[in-house]
Amino acid sequence: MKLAQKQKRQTGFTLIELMVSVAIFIVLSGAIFGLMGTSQKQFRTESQLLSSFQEARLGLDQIVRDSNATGYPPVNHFSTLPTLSSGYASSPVAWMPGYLTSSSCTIGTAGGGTCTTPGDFDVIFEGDFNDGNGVEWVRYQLQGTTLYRGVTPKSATNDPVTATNVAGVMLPYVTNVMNNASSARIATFRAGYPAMFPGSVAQPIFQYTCDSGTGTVLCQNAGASNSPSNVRDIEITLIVMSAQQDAQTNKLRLVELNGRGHRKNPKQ
Amino acid sequence: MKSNRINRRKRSESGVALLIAIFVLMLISVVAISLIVASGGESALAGNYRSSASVYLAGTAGLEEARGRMLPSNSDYFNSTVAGFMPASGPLAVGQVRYILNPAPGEALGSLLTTYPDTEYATEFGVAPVSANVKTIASVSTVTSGGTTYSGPLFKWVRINAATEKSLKTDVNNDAVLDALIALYYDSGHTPLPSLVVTATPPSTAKQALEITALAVLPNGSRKTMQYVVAPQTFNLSFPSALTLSGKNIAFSGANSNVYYANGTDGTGNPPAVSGCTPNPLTSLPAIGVTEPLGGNGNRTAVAAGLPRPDHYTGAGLATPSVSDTISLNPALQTPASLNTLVQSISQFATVITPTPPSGGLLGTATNSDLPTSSATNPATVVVNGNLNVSSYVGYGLLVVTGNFAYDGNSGWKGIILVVGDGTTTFTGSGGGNQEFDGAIFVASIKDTSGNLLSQLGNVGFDISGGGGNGVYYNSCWINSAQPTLTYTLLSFRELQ
Repeated sequence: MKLAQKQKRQTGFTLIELMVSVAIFIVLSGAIFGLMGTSQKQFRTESQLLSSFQEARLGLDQIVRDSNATGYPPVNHFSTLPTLSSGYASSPVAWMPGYLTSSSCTIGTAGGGTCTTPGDFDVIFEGDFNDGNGVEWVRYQLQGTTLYRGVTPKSATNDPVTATNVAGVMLPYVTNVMNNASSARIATFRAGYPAMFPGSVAQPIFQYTCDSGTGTVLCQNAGASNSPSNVRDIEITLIVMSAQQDAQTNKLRLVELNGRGHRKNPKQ
Repeated sequence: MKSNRINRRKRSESGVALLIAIFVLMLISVVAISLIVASGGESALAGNYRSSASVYLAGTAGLEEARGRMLPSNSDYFNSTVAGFMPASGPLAVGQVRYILNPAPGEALGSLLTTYPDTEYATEFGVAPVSANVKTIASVSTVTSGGTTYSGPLFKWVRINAATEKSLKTDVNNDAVLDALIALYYDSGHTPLPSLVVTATPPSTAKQALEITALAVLPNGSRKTMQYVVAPQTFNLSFPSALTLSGKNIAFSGANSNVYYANGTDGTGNPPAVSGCTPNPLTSLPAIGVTEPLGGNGNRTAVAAGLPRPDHYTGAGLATPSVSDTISLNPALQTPASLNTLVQSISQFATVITPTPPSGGLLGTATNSDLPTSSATNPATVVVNGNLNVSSYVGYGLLVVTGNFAYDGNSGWKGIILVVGDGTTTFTGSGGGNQEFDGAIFVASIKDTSGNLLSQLGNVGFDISGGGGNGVYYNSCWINSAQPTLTYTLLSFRELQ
């Protein structure tokens, strides 16, 4: 009986077995923790990237919806126009200079055209976006690398730029927008993303098509129909950069988001 | 002893296997969790954007289905599916509500408005719609083909109703009152610009503005309500006189009948009423208008000389006979090319195109039996590619004849008659008859005898010397009512929620 118990106690691990086990444990643990560390870094990078892109995607979606609904209520809804011009949308896209005198301007790109807004990085939508609560100006403007958004009631006396430039109206909306980056930076970006920034120049956020006698064409090609009141479609391109470098490549990551707003309300 | 040692070794080896298994499992678990967390973020990102775009497109699809199915030329026209769904003529009264219902698989058509109530209507009108005033119809967006059902866009319902100032929250006439009872009309003739108008007696150039509202709901709960305001668009044809003759040389032989009159005063004669256009506007145009492409006043003189009873031609405050050559033609009526384009366009919306061309390329001749049945509430658009010879026939709508138009005194038409082609009209009977033409008649010659398009309008012949029935009476209500709806023009769009 005693002999049998003794034999049972002797059935533990041998030293060699334990050493082998510990060695395997150490090797595997090292591998696992190494992998976990890498995964954590990658996850953090991806999360930030997704967060940036999510923000940009929501921003783009809002711009598209605003441009779809702009121009309400149109002039055709009034047999007698409201006494104040703030009671209706006189144009789906407001403009400067010349808005208050109803003197139109021409839309260009890369500094062309006579409009300061609408332009490559600035647009002001005009309409009742809030179901009968009055006509508003909704402005999107890129300042540096931040796209700002501002909403203010349409004014019968102020022009849309002055009204939206009042302190506190324009608020940061999408950050790290790289569309108007410097030439040096664009060159760096193109090394990693050769399809972006065609021509190695700034990429407009807003590009406009105008209704013309021959259909809908880019406003700068629309001749006499090149006017903010004729804007039909707005192509939106947002190039957004991640806040931090990629954990593995140590490079900044970019994403390009595209959308198209289509004005449904009729020409005024 | 040896056997005991072997047993002990076996037992210890099984312990090592367990340890290794646990480590491997841990490794796999860590990798799997990392993957799950990362892919979860991407799914959420893609899902948000997809929902937003999908619900917008679903709502738009509903709005477009309603806009399309209001057209009589649409194969899924409302009234072809449910008789009387929309008024065949006249306005949709304020308070009348029409719904297109589009249940998703598993949802019941009958309870759809309970599951997805239309709270927006009460917001716009202050009260819920009266059930007796509600008609519903099923959507056609879900189709079954080859035994497979293809589900349509995920809108739930689309509402069609009359628009009012109150429902649009828009003070159309700037009188500081949002009227809740008067249906809005869209007046293409409004100055300085076409616009909505608020009046109990809309002008003849006005068409009712309708509100189309759609609710889209996705399975994940995303929802959107959006709204169109639309109005029917027609060719917007207008005429400068009751009978208009446009051509180089006009040969005119007026009616001898004592009961035959031509009157340019709107609504004279005995026209049937046009729903929503009563009374006629106080417009008075010349009884007969002619153009003078060769200069001078040869055509006016020729027409006046061809009138056996000049005192029977009245209108526009002119001395009888009321014949004017200072008329202004609608742009679509001015040249052979524009008239040809107009005829081609009308052909696309024609109820009937007749007759079948005979062999040899000659013009065929249509008679009563080739024409569709029409009525005051169901006007037709008829294109006769050839001659038309009718007797004791009364039609309603828009009639185009590209050959000679021959009729007897018991034939009449309520609406528009365009005799364009070789530009001849002949009275075939004898004596008066008791029918009349209410609306406008336009006669011009745009083709030569070989069927080639002329560069300028040719000669016109109008011979009703045998009689002519009770005459021709200008009627703007019938002119507008006769023109088919080409499309429902979008007047505005907005997202509500």
